[in-house]
Amino acid sequence: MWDQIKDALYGATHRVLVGVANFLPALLALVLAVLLSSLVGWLLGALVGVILRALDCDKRLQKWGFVVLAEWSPKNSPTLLLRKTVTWTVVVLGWLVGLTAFGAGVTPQLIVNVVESLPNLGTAIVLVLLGVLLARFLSRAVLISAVNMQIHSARLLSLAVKWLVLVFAAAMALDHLHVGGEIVRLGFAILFGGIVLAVALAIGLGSKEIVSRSWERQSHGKDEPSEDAFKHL
Amino acid sequence: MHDTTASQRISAATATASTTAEIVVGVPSCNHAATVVQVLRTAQAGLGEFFSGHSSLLVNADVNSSDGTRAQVGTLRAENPLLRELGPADGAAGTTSPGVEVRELRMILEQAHEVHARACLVLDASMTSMGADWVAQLARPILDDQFDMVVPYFARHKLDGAISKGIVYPLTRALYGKRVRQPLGSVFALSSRLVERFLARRVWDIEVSALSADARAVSEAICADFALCQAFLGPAEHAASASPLDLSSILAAVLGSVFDEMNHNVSYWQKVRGSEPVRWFGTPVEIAGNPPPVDAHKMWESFRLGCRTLQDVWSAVLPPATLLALKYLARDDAATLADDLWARIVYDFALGYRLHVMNRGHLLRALTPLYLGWLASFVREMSAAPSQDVERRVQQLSMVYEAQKPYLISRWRWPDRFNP
Repeated sequence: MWDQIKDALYGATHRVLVGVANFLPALLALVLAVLLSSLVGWLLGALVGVILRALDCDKRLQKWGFVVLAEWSPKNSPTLLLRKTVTWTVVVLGWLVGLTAFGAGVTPQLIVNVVESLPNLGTAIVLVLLGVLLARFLSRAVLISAVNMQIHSARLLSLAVKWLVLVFAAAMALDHLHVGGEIVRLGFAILFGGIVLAVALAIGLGSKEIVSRSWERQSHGKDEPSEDAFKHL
Repeated sequence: MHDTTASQRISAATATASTTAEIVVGVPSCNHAATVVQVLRTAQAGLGEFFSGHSSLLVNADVNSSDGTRAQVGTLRAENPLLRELGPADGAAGTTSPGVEVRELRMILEQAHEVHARACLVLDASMTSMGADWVAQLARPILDDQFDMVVPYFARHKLDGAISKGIVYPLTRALYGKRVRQPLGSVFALSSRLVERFLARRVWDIEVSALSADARAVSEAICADFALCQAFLGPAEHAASASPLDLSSILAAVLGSVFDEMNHNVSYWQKVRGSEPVRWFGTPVEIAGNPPPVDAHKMWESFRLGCRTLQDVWSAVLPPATLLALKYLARDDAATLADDLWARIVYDFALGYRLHVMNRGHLLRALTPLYLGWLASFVREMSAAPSQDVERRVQQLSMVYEAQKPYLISRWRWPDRFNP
């Protein structure tokens, strides 16, 4: 009886030890992969940081209108955000490599899925960036034109135009990524319609003085000093 | 880029005509059917009255009219075989933005060069107040006194021409050191030397509005050290335009050209200090009638609206001290925009234009409320003053522009470092 118990104990211990012995190299490979990727990520991040600081990236992005990027970045520095993004991307890749060492079937599939979605992600990012640039350009054009037309709700009009374009760009990006599906389309339609209604109200309420002045001038003749009569040139 | 098609058209038109003329009077037109015949007839009368002993040529250049202007000129040509028309041979009208007549200007200069003209006069086809004596006033300084360019001085109501009074004249004077009182005249005369220079340098080859083509010519002539003079002409009345431009578009067109010239001539104007007078010809003419009423309060309200709403836009161009000063001004209904502040604002916008801090059209249009603020101050101060006092005030403003020029030069050379 004792011999059978001893055989069972020795067999179980042997199987566990064999299992641990098979597991340890993969574990060590994972730890090594993470350590190496952390080192490489840190070095790459530092290099990207040096290059972006030399290019004065923070100032240029702010000048080009990516103020939102600065607001969302740690310490209001897009350079720091980009540096951390590069570092953590390399670390995550290291983790994936380390997990693959365990021979799990799901990890290679995960990597394939991630790589396949990168072009769509890139396109979506480009769409959003173009949307930001266009929104800034159009909102400033509307603001200046509305002020020159003496519309008091100029700032509201400008904000509405900016958000119209941003919402449109974001909806296009999400649709491109196949994120959200019908919910995103419906939400965009509601938001877009709401903003258009707000703009129509703003124009209607903001320009009622201009319209009434124009009507008064037509009905009473040109008694008031007209801007058109003064020769600026 | 030299327009070979235009040259071919000119050659075809002049095949049977005389090959030399001492004086060429050119009238560029674009949709001026209502006024071009009157201008041509007046010019013809002037040539006949004052230059009957000189060989002369009357030219109309028109490429893009679609309102029957060329047909009108054609009927006049039947009465006057010496009138030469320059335009598309097939008669088809093109499309163009209103007021762009730089191709026509170049065609007239090419014609003047071809006939070896000593003096080339360029008139305005929309001008309804032109007198026959204008031809003499413009041509005589070139023919008799060997000047190279004659710039007109029109009789105006004391507050009219505010863009010229408040920006273009003081800026041109401070930059180039010449007191050319009305650089935006739309009428001018050139000597043969200057015609050759303009054709060789292709002064109007890049797209420029007819609102400021003459300002470009004036700065080019000054920087090339040609002799300029000014001539007193009568009042300048124009026919109403079919598609008049709004104030911000006018400012953008005029200042765009002026600031482009600043960028182009930077090596010249940075060395200039002070200014010198430019010789006058003719007798000053007083303008009759009451000036149109001006609503200074409305202009000041536009300025205040700009101060409330455009701070973010202006902060890309104006230093913090200027923004703060504007904020304080906007609180007071009776405040005045001081001359030195106004001069620095114009210089800052010129610098912003050069540095492309934002879209240039947006930048120039954003100046409109500031200009209205200055104009409101000027009108409040000068509305009751006589014309001589207004002119003295303009000269005083110009001296402030000259005094602030070191500020411009410092900011131009070190835009990042010098920011008070």
